[in-house]
Amino acid sequence: MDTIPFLPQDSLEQQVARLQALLEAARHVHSSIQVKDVLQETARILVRELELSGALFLMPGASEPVASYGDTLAPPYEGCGRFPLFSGESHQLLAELVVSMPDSGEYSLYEQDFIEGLVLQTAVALENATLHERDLEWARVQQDLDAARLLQRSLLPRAMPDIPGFSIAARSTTCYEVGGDYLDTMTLPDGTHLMVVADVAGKGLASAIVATAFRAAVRSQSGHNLSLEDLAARLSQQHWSEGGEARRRYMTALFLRLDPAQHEIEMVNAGHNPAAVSLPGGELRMIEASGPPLGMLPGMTYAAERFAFPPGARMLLYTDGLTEVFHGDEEFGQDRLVETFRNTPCPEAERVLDVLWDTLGTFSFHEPQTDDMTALAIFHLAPESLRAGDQTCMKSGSSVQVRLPSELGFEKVAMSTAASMAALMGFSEDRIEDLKTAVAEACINAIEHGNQLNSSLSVGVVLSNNDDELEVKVIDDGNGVRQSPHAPDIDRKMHGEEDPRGMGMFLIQALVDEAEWHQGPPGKSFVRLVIRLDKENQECR
Amino acid sequence: MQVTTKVSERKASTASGSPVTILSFAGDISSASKDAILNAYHGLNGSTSKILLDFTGVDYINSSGIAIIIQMLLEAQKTGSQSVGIFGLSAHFQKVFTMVGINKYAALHKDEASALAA
Repeated sequence: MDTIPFLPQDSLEQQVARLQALLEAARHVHSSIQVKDVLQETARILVRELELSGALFLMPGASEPVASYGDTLAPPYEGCGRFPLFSGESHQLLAELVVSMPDSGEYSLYEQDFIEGLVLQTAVALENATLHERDLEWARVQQDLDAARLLQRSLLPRAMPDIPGFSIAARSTTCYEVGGDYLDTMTLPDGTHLMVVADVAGKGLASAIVATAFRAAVRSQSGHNLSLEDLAARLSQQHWSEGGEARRRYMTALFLRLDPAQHEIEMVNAGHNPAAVSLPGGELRMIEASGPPLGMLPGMTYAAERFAFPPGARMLLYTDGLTEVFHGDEEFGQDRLVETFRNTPCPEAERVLDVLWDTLGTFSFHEPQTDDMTALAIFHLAPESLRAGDQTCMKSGSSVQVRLPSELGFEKVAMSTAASMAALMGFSEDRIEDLKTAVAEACINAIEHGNQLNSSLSVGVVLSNNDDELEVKVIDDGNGVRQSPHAPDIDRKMHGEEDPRGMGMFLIQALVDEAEWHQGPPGKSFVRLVIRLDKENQECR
Repeated sequence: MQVTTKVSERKASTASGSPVTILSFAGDISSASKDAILNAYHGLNGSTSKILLDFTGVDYINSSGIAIIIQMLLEAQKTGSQSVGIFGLSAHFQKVFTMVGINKYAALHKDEASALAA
């Protein structure tokens, strides 16, 4: 019979020595952050400290030991001691220690205690090492995704075709690092332009791989002088032939061929959202799908539509990420998207895409996007908007009204609306920043002082464009705000002699061309701001 | 509906080697930022003598937010030993900070490098 540790017959020195040995062993085990090193160190300590012949570690699901020390122990490890290592929180089996028995055929109580104590310490170290390995793995995946994102961005067209009399712009934003939307333009040898907008089922990395493969297929087939119908049919069949995994990632696509000389467009819609064509005179034409998505079914054929695209016409190709934007349960939808596109008066395609993205951001209260968003806008410019030096993006007398909940934070909705309107009128970015701050301060005053933070009231914002000036009226439902036009005194504020608040009104006056406050009965109190276009520095992006 | 302010603290040193504490703000600087900003400032080690405020990650600042920055500058001034610098503001907000006179109490720098070189 071995001596039992920590009983009176053990000297205090012996007990201290054993505790020190365990402490020292634990310190060694915790000194590494590598899974294999942790287990190797534990096996070594056990064999050396307890003078056993061998020890090894098995991991769940692996037949070979992950670490061992001393004599080779062989399965089924008869006559060996086995000790499971569990994770602290989930009680999940991390590994199992197999250790040889001493010659006596059983462990002494001291040996049993030492092994169990060390197994507990090793489980903690092993869990830390496993988490560390996972962190490293995650960092590697993140690096891969970053590289994939850069690559995918680099495959977008660097510039839109520069065709006299046309304004063409495209935009693609992904909801994850990489996306399954594809956008491309190619100039063909006959002087026409092939443009493609496609959306692979799903999103993220798998869809991005399919989109990239699809790009290569489109680019190689586009050199074969095929009709759009044949191009779509061939790409569909080719994708379907790739097998089941690819078929699950089928894609909807729009193929468009623009003939600028003939003012004509030819299009094939393969299972995609309808493209919107707005013609001068007000006619709206939707180009609906003529067949299922590409790669979904074998042997599919598609029909092309050909139509005139005269000066003043504009067209929008988009993926469903632009219509499936939500505010609560309410979807932005195709009708609103098409109406916004048609009714934005600016003839610059790029600016109209700005307005679409701003409008969608405002609609969703700038929630992170939940799908990839891609759009291509083609404008055949009407002659009057071609005249240099006479570019106003917005008709005089246009007016926009917004009603905000009387709650701090909603001033940003007024800011972005005012910024969109000012951009359409051709204000410079500096002036737009001035306007945004002035409008935000006017709204904050209306919410805090006019409406006294009463959240059942609201704030009205009316933006009107008169020739070269933009007027913004911010109307509260309370008793208005008294004008106190004195500049803030920073020295007095810094000495605590003046309320550090009350700067809003000063900023408004300093940032816009005109500012006046009117007090009246509820609903009739307002602040009126005016900023004017500086003709010298006018810009219409 | 107000966006919360995130404040993170890191250490740096000036070109001449003296230690600097940088408080980086992200999100909006508005009336909702009071606790985040003042708690971060109060949490600084009492011996911190040079503080830089990093606005690089800030998209929106309003007058209520500026008032909180002024309150912090006021407290820093009262210690008699702390100096505060500001960097990372857009050109527009550099103009606004100058309009309200903050530049008299905190030097405005374009970016971190020029703030540390100063």
